[in-house]
Amino acid sequence: MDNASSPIDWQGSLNQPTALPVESVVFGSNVVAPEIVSATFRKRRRKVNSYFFSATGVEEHGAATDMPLPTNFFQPAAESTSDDLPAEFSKRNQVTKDDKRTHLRAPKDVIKMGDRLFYMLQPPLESLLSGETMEFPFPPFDFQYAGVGFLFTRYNAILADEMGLGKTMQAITSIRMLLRTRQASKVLLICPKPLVTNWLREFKTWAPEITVAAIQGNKSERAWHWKHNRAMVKVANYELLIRDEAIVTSEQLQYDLCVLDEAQRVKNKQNSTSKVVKNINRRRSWALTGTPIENSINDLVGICEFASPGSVNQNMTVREIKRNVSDLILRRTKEVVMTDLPPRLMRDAELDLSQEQADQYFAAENNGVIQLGEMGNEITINHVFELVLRLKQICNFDPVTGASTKVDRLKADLEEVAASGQKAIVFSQWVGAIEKIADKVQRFNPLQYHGRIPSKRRDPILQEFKENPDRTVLLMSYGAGSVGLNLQFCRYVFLFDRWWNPAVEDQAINRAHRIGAAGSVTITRMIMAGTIEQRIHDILEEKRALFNEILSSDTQPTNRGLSRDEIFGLFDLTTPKGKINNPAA
Amino acid sequence: MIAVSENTERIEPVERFGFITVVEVPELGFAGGMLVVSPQGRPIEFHCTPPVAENRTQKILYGQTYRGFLFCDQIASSIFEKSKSRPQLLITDRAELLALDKIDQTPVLLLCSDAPPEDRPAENRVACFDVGGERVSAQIRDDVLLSSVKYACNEFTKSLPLVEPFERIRLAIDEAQAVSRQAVSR
Repeated sequence: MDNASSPIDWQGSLNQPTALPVESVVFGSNVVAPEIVSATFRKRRRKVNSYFFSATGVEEHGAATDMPLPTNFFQPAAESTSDDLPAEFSKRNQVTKDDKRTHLRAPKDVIKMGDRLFYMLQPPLESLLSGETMEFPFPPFDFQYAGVGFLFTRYNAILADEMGLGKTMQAITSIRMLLRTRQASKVLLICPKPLVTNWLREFKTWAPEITVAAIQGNKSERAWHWKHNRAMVKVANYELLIRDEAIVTSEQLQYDLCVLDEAQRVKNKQNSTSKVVKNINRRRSWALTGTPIENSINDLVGICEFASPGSVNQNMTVREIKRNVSDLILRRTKEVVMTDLPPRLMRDAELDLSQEQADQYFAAENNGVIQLGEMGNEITINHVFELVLRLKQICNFDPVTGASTKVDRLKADLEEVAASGQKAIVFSQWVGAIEKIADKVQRFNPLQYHGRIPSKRRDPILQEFKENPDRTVLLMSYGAGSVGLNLQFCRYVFLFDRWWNPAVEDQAINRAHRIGAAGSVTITRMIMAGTIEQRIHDILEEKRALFNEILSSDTQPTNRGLSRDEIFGLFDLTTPKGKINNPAA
Repeated sequence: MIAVSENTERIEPVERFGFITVVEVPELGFAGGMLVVSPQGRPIEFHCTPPVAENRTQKILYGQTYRGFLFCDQIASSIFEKSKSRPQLLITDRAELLALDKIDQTPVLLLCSDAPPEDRPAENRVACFDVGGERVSAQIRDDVLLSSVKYACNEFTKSLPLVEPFERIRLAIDEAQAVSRQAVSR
């Protein structure tokens, strides 16, 4: 057998020359053969990679770890025992064999193997967060654990869950963990003004031990809050950031974490708010938004300017942007994670204009189109907008008699809602329309919630709506009521008129259709057939389909709202640059 | 080793649980991993080997005992030598690693429920008991020691099931393998 050219079989291997040194001994008269011969072979040691962890991180990498953990890691701030916990909660205290377990995963920007393993080898979040170590009013959902794991391990993150999946709870829990582990001691949370009280309330519910302060008052009071208030978490609103820019961005104020709620507010990187938030001194940047792309991919680029500066820019292709943000953004939809959430029932109420409305509407449209046509090259998008708004208002109410087919339909539907003991929210884009509706549905004891209601009065209105069974309907403007409010006790939502952007409509709908919804939520979209509303509705439906595609595929995103050409196309007009051949496509 | 006071037979609490397993890495062999954790499941040490390819000659020579030799004498004993804070109780999901108690004198428990059928222990194992919904077996003849082992396991499963740390070991080995593959491809 030619050993050099064929595989070595077991006999061949026995014939191989040994690697051990061989000494031959000849037994004879001088040397007596032994009865037993034994030889000790040194065991072959395998290479082993070892990592040693202390309470403060990876030992072999020294004390300078990105994730220092104190010895009282996840221990309660105050004494508590499992005996104090409600029965249901005590049950959650034990992570059983069949429970789903969420393991922390290191972000991609953590390079060292020891550091990556330090995250991965921690016990599952369900164990860390349960029972005696951290108390919750309600057991979190599995996807919420995953969201907490995502935020907690990241310095730069965008949590872009669909509205209603509990971004607030996930952010608060992650903040709580950072504070407990002393990775953070100063947190700044920025949200729209109407949501400040909501955040304070949510902190009280989910993390009662955390001290939270709202930045408010006159200039000197705010200055005191900014500089001297020792609360762990400060909650500020976007509006006052600009007024307090000098203090907020000063070197003296350093935050371990800055969280932007409704971060689509900084989608335009040129606006004042964006410029201020980017200059806040911070170690971690988290953005929370249900609509990371409202109109175009540039919205996402704008948010990234805060959340992860330099990671993307407008010159990148969509593919490049998606690749660069893949570890930065977490987005889940209700459809995927909340399979047990009650259904959202959409129904389009296509209504005919009343005779009075029809007379007014078609006269206005015809005259308007003629006037726009006569403007020639002077025509601008604002002129078209004016006509659209005028026509939409007539679709709501006849300006002379106040007649309204929509209100007639609304009253009929509210009868059913009230009779079944349920509650409804009605959205309109105009405060004027809300006030007119309120007059006409007085028998249902309507409450109003819009921009003309002072901030201090808004929370009591929501409380009254929730607790008073005689209050059947809440009339809200999209602007004031579309974000951050929890109205999941409502089973009916009416979109009295349509907003330009489907994301805003979704936000409004999700006030009621969110975690905790008692049952199916019926959404009625009121559309006047054969009018501008019908045309806008058709375009928005196409946009909605496109949005879903953008967030789930590599498709090139395009503008989601109505583009300039689409607005012109509503009336089969031409732009100053020529005829629109393919309107609303 | 779990300490049992001779005078009072009071059981010293287990401070370090060792979870040890060997996983098959396709086309590369077997990689070993041991995670030493606190009673709360917090990691204290982690050791892993690169995949060890089966040696055909040794396989022929060792016959049916080859896996035991490879897992215990080659992989696990190498890991043990690196451990700074030796675990007081070893838990494995690989029947071949039960023989570790000969090497280190540390009690070794075998999780049975998730083990593949061929890895199920023989019926002559000295002790079989349930803890936290898991079937566990061990060659522990000393009643006091067995009680202390049961007690430690029950305490541990108040916060985590015994199968959970193995998930972490597998994740960590996968991570190490992924990094190695990336390094090779570069």
